[in-house]
Amino acid sequence: MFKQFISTIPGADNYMIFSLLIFLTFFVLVGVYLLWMDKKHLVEMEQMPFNEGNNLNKNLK
Amino acid sequence: MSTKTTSLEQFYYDNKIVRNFSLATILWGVIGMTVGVIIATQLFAPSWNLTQYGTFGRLRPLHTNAVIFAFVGNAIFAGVYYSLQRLLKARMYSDFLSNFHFWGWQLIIVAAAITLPLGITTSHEYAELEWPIDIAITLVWVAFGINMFGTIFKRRERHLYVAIWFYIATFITVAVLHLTNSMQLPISLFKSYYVYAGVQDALIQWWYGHNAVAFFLTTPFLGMMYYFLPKMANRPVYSYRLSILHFWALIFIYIWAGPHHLLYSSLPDWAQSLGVVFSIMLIAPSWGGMINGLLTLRGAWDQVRENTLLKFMVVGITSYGMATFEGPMLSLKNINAIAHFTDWIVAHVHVGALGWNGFLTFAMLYWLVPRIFQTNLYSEKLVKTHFWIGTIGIAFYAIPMYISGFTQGMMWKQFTAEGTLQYGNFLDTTLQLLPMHMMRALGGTLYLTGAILMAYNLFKTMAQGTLLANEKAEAAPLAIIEEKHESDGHWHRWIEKRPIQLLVASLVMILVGSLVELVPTFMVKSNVPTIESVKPYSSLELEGRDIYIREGCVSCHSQLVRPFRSETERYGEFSKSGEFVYDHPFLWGSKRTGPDLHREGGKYPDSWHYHHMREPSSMSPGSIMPNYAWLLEQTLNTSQTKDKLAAMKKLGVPYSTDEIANAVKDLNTQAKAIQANLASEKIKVSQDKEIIALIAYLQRLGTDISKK
Repeated sequence: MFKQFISTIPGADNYMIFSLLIFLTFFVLVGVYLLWMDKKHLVEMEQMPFNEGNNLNKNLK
Repeated sequence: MSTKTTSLEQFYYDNKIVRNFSLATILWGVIGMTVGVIIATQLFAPSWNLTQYGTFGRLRPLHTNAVIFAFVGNAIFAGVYYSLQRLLKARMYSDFLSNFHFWGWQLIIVAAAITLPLGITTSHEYAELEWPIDIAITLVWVAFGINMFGTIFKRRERHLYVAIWFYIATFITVAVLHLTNSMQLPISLFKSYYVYAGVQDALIQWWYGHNAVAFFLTTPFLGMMYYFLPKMANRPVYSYRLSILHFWALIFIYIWAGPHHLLYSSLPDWAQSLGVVFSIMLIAPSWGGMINGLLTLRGAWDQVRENTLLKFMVVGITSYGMATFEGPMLSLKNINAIAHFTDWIVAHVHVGALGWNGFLTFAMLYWLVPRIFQTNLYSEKLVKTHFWIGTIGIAFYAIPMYISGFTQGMMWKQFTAEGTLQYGNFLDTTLQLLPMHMMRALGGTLYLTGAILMAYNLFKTMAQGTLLANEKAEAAPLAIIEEKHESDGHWHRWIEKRPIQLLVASLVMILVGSLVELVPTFMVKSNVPTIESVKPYSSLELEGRDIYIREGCVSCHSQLVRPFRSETERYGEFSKSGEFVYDHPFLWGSKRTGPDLHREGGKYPDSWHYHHMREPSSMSPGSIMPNYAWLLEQTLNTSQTKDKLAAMKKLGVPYSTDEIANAVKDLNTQAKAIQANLASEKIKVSQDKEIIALIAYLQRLGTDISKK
């Protein structure tokens, strides 16, 4: 499908395939990064909205 | 474990700035939605077009700017200022910058509310504001960025929660979009021309328009969803992994999809195909966000039954899912062929705006206002009423618009057995839609009523509580936290604590797609083949074109005949990219409330246009177009005509020195000819009236290619 439209611009095929490759590489890297992420750290990150600096205003609802 | 854990620092969260942005959200929300109801009514009751400052063409950009930048914009800032401080355990970097941001943004909104009804507009959708206001937006946006990054640098939390990633991507991308799409050559304080022309201008505009939806209406709200939804439901986000994956995929892919707004246009085919492919891919990261939001409530649906704020969130996130599924479907060429230029797109946009942006904003305000005012909501019952009236409002808005869009799209394409257009008169299709437009206005009114109820409820809540302007908190400084985790050097946490690298990575992601989309169209000459007979506009036609821009005609009339038999039969030869090379800006439009005008030139006599502009229904009985009687009275301002031609020359339009020097003289000569033509049909009008220039422009439209 890509071949069909990139063939109409001279020299642009490499340009586009290169950019798709950037995305795929990055996507795979992020995927690996996520698989390797340790559970403890994930839980720590997930809990961040609940840990707001020992709020001292006890009268807050 | 360090012994220094006891040395905590005390500091104060700034709630006053959150209160200010919340108030502005409520106020501008009600105003923006009211203007929406007014323009919805104008589409079935043309008498609602009051004076030249209150026509649909001038109020429609006021509505879109008010709801996008004033209502949603202030909501984003309220949400970001509230959550950013707490996620970073730090007060905003500078109170001065916070206030500068707040007042600067409100002044920009006021400037928009004044200039748009005056007809001061660039005509680029959602970027209509003239260049001095564009500069003000840049300054305020930079102030926001410095304040945000200043806060990030002085944080007491090592890692940046995913919501902050979305805020950073929002900041940098909106900056790039705004700067690129605001490249204008000023002629005076209130008038400028875009440096881009025709196809290139269209591509830049829809790269901007599409990504303004992505990075103003989507990413900041996803960030807010990741903060406020766990707080409301009192449970962490379903999958933190998914949030990271969809963050990167979303910001990368979104930027490529802009050309789907220009299918079947004169844009090169490869660019259109690129837009379609990436639009389909976009379903995955968009639904990643929706699924993550909805699954956060897994096992807690009993809470949704009880908690109205969660109901708002569920409807909001579901609307996001619906809109982001529909978007890629609309980018398929066969669906787009029917839906484009119709109310279908209006329905699509409003499912996102009313459901996703509106409902998330309402939930957030109901959640944070009582907290910063140390009280309970004034009335839970009113919140419930608001939810139901708002939901019914969305349904009453969207369903008639879907029916209307489909009906009109099909009617435009309907042929008789003999092979002629069944609805050859465009007005037949417009009149068919009036009942749907009435129902839509009812839906909008219901939704507005809900917003007014919220305003009352929140003002009462504020009145019964006391603002905790500076909320005391304490946390260990970052240095101590770093020391505690010194041995904790997993490589994959690297970027989570490096905001600048995160900013740069986000920038690279969005630039890759942008460059692939934009560069070839600008660099490769064969993408816009020139046409020998296409010449620049005469000085009178150029002035007429500026009146067309001022009156916002582009809100209802496209100038782009697509290559379908149904369109060439109705309008004439389909549009070629080479015909627009002198169009600064392009005026293709995005909606056909009235017919396409690209082949309008020579279709009717000058007298027809004269009578039609004075009172459209006199020429087209039943027309919903406003009267433009003032064009017959107002004298054309020619004080800048020379400057306009000179500016166009700078932008590459081949006007000769003589043409520029004699601009006004030539203008008068052409005007005199039109006046004489009108006089022969017993119309008495002075040659210096605005109507003459507009007629000159309309009669020129699309005629170049038929010249020998």
